[in-house]
Amino acid sequence: MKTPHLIAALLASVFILAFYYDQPPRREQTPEKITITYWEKWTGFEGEAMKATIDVFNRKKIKNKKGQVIFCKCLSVTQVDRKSALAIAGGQPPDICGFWEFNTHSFADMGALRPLDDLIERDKDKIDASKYIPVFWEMCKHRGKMWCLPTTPAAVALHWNKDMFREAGLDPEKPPRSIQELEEFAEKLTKKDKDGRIIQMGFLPPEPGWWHWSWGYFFGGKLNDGLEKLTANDPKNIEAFKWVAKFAEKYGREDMLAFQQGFGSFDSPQNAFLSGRVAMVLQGVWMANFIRFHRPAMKWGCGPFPSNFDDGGHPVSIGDMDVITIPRGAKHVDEAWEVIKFINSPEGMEYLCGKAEDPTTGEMNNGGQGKLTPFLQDRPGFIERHPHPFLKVFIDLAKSKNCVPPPKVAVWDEYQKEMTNVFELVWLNKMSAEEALNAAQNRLQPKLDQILKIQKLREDEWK
Amino acid sequence: MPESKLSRWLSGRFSKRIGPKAPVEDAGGGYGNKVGGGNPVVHGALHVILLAAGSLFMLPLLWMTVTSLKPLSQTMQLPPTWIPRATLAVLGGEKLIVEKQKQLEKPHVIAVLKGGHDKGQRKLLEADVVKDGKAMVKYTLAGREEYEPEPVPVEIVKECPAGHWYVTQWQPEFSAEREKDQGEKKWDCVAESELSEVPHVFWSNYAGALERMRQKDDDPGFFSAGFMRCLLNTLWVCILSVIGVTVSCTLVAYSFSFLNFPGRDVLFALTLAVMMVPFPATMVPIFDVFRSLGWVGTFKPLWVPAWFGGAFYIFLLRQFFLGLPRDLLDAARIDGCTELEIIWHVIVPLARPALAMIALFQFLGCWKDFMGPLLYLTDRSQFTLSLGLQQFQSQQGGTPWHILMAASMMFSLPLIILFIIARKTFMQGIAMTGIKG
Amino acid sequence: MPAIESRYKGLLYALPWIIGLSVFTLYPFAASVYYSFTDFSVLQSPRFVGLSNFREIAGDEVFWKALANTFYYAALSIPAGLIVSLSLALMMNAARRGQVLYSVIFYLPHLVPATVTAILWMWMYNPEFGLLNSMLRPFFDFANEVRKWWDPSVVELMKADPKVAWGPPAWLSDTTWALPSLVFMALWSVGQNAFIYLAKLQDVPQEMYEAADIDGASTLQKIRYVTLPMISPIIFFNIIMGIIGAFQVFTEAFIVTKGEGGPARATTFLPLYIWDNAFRYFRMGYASAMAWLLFLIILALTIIAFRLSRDRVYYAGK
Repeated sequence: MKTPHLIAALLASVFILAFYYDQPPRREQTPEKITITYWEKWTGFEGEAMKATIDVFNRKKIKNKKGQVIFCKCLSVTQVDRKSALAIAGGQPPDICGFWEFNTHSFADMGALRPLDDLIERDKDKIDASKYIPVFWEMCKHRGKMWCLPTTPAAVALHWNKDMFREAGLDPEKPPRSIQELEEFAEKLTKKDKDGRIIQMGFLPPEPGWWHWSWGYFFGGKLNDGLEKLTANDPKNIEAFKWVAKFAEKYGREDMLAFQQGFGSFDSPQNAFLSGRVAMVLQGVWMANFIRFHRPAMKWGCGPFPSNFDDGGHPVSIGDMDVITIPRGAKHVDEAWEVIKFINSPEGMEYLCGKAEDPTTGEMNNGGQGKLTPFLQDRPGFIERHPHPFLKVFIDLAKSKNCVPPPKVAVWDEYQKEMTNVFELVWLNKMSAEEALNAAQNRLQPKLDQILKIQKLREDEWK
Repeated sequence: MPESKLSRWLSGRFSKRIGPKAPVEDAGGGYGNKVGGGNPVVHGALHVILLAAGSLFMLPLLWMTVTSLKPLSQTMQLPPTWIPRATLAVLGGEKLIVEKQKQLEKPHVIAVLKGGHDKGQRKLLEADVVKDGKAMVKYTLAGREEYEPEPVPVEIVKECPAGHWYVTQWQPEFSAEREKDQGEKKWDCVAESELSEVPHVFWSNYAGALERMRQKDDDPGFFSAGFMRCLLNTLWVCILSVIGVTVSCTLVAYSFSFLNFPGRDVLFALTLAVMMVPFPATMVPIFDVFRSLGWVGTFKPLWVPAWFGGAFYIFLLRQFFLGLPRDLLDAARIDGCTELEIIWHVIVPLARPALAMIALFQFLGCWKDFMGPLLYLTDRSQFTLSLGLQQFQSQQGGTPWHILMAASMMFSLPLIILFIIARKTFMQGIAMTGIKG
Repeated sequence: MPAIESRYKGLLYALPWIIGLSVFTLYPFAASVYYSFTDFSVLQSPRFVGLSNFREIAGDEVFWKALANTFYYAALSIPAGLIVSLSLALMMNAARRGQVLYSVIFYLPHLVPATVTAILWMWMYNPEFGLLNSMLRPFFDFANEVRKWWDPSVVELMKADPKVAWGPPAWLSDTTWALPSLVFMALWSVGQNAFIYLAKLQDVPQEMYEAADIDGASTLQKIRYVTLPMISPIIFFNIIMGIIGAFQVFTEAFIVTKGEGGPARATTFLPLYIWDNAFRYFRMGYASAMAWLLFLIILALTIIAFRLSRDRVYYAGK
């Protein structure tokens, strides 16, 4: 053969060989063992707790139908929602994704998740709605289907600093029960120096400012009426934001801004609450972890956040949850389901959420993620062993019928941002509560209508 | 044999470079006279301005180099220093390189714990924490620090007034696991006067970058994850796409230049037109194409298209080919050469500089590419260097700048070396890029 | 192989490109037109929705913000890039010696991968420890001293609130400065263009300068009336490429802001927003519609540039 033809043949074989060998990386799979991947959102100690739980699962050597031992590889992935979206779109998703609950609705709407109903049906003796605190089970549902199961749930409550209460002449065991009391207490707990600068505050609505959408709920308002109608300008919501405006007016916007300059980052001893600058905060069940890490000697309490209506002892709280999902296109659904099932068994869940025993080695863990479980009934001893001194408060809050999950409307992501914006406009006195909420309503309702129109168009695919 | 004779004859006759010329290296007389005139003062001033501008251009690169050779604590030093230095102190009777961790703002004490989880260890405590020989101390639990439930009895061994430095023994940057194996770092509190500084280059940052770019849950093995894995991936993609682009563009440009086929001119006009299409405009459907081919999660989207030509390179090569003497081709045809033989024996030797240029530019583009890998590579074991570096950066936030800079250096250096070796080809290529004007 | 007609041979050799062009460019191009009229999530088949995507774009503030940012970026970076690279080229051309050295100095930044450029400049721009601010701080300190001396009442104010004192900006985390910082970063890699100009400058026939000398033209006049007209085609070409490039800027902004286009959307460029809609929200139809608008804008700008250049660009032989 002549040189140029030889070279052509050589190049062709390079191409073919390279093309043939360039395949997606395969996880180890032998007749005895199958490896699946799990992308987890947490990277810090919460991620470690999740990995430890997955290690327990791996040590249990659960087998799939073909008799292969399932090995789950848990990778901490930053920006997990972004990366999963790309991988799912490309048809190369991991087998399991650990998301936040608020991710799942939009992912479900995009068709990026595999519904779990058939799998739950198959294992209904182990996984059943009746075992879960209703709010958490409901949070997994969207448009009639189950898209995820809980990993660690959370609820929010009022945390208060008992030493500061005592110093201000308040009874440290009696937190405020109504919005009016909250205001009174806040006033007593606020201190200024001789130049009139704020050095301590009883309560500061923008601290930490993670749930600005929720203020209306503590006044009896709500953000939506079903999936098709937004109610941003509900009179009760307006009342709530008027209260916010009043609060800002009372303490001085500039003064509070200057005061806030001194706050350190959340996960540090300079956190506003941990450093004793703000006496009462709205925070989640995880706050106890950070108190333990940074200010173990602090005397603090927690209870339901005050609301301005009495609903026969059903306190208001906000449900929040980490969840575990199977993305659309996952290659090993049954094996992934085994992992999810394990995490949603009492032994797995307790190991993840609190102080519990490793069922394979008998060793105690160090408190896991330090949160509550989504179950109605924990096994005896769990609450007592748990590092959180007030876990019961959160369990009761989660069980309250006024524990609200983030609304499942299709524009939630934007809605939430818009409400934060409303808060800022009102807080800085750029707009009245009424104007800001009306503007939000008028901006987002048409957007929602548009999306609903498209959803209707795709109704058939949904089923 | 006749064809090899022919090629020898050709290469003998046309070994001189054909094609647009590179910017003249050192114009000495001729060119320079054009604008500035021959005035030495003007020239001097121009050089001064150019050198000043040049140092501005070099500053970031220099800063990158210097940062990559510093220990961590020096990257956070104000005002910044241009010479990497090692701080020396005597720890446990030995003179060691240390890292300055912090200057004490309050009086502290070094105390030995007499109880608790870390019994027997030395701790640095704020002086006023110790009351009646007891203190609240922290211990480490699952990577986080927690306080002991009860005050722990302690024995004070050294008093450190405010202004002393808390220093730790310097250790090379390694992954978390390696660090664990190294055992406890030595540390102490010393007065400013006990510290001395000497210039010292921390090459170990580079070894650290190799190690730190891998994560705990990555597979073990030097080439299985981290920098080396990314390097192999990058090379794999680059080499394949360079071969592909050179081969395919030569064939296509040859066909455009010397062969007649129906629709040739329309096709060529289209080729020119698609250079205008911005990538975002076709990003979605291309992704969809690769997805339906099942190529997402493989390197294929990054190199296979190169084997099907590239508009700009085809255009450049065609321009170049058209400048070649036509009669050589005709002579070869009369000699009975097939088209492949003509390409191999006539075109390739003559067009070597142009081919080298497109190979070089493709390599460069491929090495630097970020969007492609970001779109198509899902598994960490497949990441290319640009994606791996970005991941490392976004995970670590902004702290280990010395390691980030070392990794960045290792990522950029091959291109810089390539440039220095093949500078003439580069300059020719740039001159050629301008042909279109 | 005399049996094969040369016309088919031509097609055969051009075949890779015919496939490449159709599969990787023409089909996607056409498909993106179609997608822009559909609702398409990649996971499900596209559904025709008429002009709905375009109507949505009209009311999408983020799109308009992204478009404004993109225009702002183009308006800053194209002229600045032109001025810097052209003046470097003119100076290098006139300076006669040292071109090897200068080619290394000015071209090296262009060789640095965009990923590294972004990370390196994040470090340069670091408000606290970055090189830039530590070089600028003394100037601000000096200005503050002058201010205190001028108006002693600010001394108290500065003590009470450190923000009163002047200081260097926080660059990438400052809404006003983030975008110009990216422009400045892009200027650093402008070397390639300088050398394109340089190559063209050296092609300007010597006789033209000699003729200008005879007419008694000054250096500046020579630049204005000889050099610039002679290289105007390449300047024009680079402006067009600059427009196309500026409207595609992605990597640096993506890395610097972790894909968020922050702070407060100050660096959300159109490609970034298209990317988010396509690969984060799976709104591929919507993303295609925006991508098409982007393409039309580039096309329109190019046509405008052609029109404007008609009288200003000199083509030899015309």
